[in-house]
Amino acid sequence: MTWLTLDTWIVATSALVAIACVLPGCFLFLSRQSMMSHGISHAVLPGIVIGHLVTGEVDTPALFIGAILAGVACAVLTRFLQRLSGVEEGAALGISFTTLFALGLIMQRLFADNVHIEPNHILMGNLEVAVFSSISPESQLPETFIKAGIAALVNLFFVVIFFKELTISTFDPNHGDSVESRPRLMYYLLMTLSAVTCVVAFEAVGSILVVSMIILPPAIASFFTKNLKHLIILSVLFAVLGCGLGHVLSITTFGPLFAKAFQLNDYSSTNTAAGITVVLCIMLVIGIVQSKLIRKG
Amino acid sequence: MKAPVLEANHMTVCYDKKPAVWEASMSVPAGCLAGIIGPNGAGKSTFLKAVLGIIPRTSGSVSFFGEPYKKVKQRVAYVPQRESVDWDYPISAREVVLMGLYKSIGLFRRKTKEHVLQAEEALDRVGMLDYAGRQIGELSGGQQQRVFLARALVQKADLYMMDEPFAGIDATTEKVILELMQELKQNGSTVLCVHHDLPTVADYFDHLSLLNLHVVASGPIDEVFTKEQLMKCYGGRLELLTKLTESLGRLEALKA
Repeated sequence: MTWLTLDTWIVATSALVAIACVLPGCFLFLSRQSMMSHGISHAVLPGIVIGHLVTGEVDTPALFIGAILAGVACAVLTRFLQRLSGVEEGAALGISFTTLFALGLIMQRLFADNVHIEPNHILMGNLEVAVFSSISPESQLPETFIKAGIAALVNLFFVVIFFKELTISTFDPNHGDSVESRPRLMYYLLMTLSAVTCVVAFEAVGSILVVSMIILPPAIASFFTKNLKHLIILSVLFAVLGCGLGHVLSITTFGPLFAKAFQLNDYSSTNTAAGITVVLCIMLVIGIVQSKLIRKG
Repeated sequence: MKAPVLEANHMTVCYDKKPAVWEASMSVPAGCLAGIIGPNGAGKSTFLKAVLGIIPRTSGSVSFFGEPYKKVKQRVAYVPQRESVDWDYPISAREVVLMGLYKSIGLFRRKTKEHVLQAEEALDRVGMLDYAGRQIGELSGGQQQRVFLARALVQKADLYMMDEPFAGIDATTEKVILELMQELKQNGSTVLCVHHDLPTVADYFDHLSLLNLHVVASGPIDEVFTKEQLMKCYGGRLELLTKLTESLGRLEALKA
């Protein structure tokens, strides 16, 4: 195994993305809203396209803001559908995010087909490519690394500042309302940050694997602790560990296998995000097994 | 005259256009132990949730202490049904009780020793101090109910609204809740309970409302807890219930 500076950047960037994902992820997981992240991560597409249509550019903050608004719209729409029609939350989410995603696809095909907003790219992401685009020609610092770092910091700040409020509103929102801890505001703040995180995480891991980064670490940690603060810290540790091991797995195992299958010499460009998810899944299995053993023992 | 602690005027609540509570009016005077009883699916929990605005009201008005709920939230503590939350949530009994102190801790601030002491004192009052550090999922149903009560106690409210606090609990918890209700009454607070067990009604409450979609009767217990009124509320099912309790009583007697 040859380890290059690039590998370090890949691991460091994915670790920051994972930390950013895990922090709101813990509360989504605990309030049984994990799949909201899946919805949000898809629903941002129309926001990106509209942002592009308004500004005519691809690389502007407008895209980012559009994406966040669309993500939050998905959460609002889901609640609205649920209240209006009385369908269960999962179904309401299924309707709202697929509708928004489809809307985004149509708009993109109609108005922005010539621009590089690849749905495929959004779905799959590419960490290996993402770390190549640095913030300036002289520097090696990847732009994604900076963005993920900012997202992780913002989320950390949010969780630390609003820890009490988040706990009350995810454990018992009705009680939150009666003691005036603003559970509804907290819900939408959590959704906003999830949207921000999803958008940032896209470039690195794609919108499908974002979901695994949001859900898996808290799910694993829940097998090892019954304390909320410990759960969050453990989730972060598991996520970072998963990123390191995942990349090693993908360059030592998946890469060579892939190269052999297609008879290529260069096998450095496998999907690290997939490796990370596989490692996280293995960790989850370990968590399940040990919790069963403890219960028996 | 003092305003009633809770007054509902012609309140209607609908689920899917079907009314769950119809034109319900109720007035609960201060300082009493009030019960709401009625058959299954009569809208008792719905009534409680709707007066608190947890579920939307279709029509009618509600006031607490003569004011809208928003103005007096701090004076009302709500103890929901146990099943309404996820008991696997990774927090301890103490942390749940501390949630009741949210307002006194305040935004952007951390809890102090004083808050922890208050929470532990409330846990002590319900006999749960030894379990303060336990994760809530490890507690029995009755113990979970007592944690919820402690969370309401620290709110130091004037009105405690409890949704089926006696459902599925052990004898110790029942005793604790009853003693607590008496204590709260003596301190001038009011307790309003949704209840389902007819035989205990007369022992627990001094004010009663019979609810079956609408309020059949409401007032002092000796005026409301009569056979005629109960027949009106429970209909034919009451006959069945009395027969059932009678035969159960006979069974108990046989055992003894």
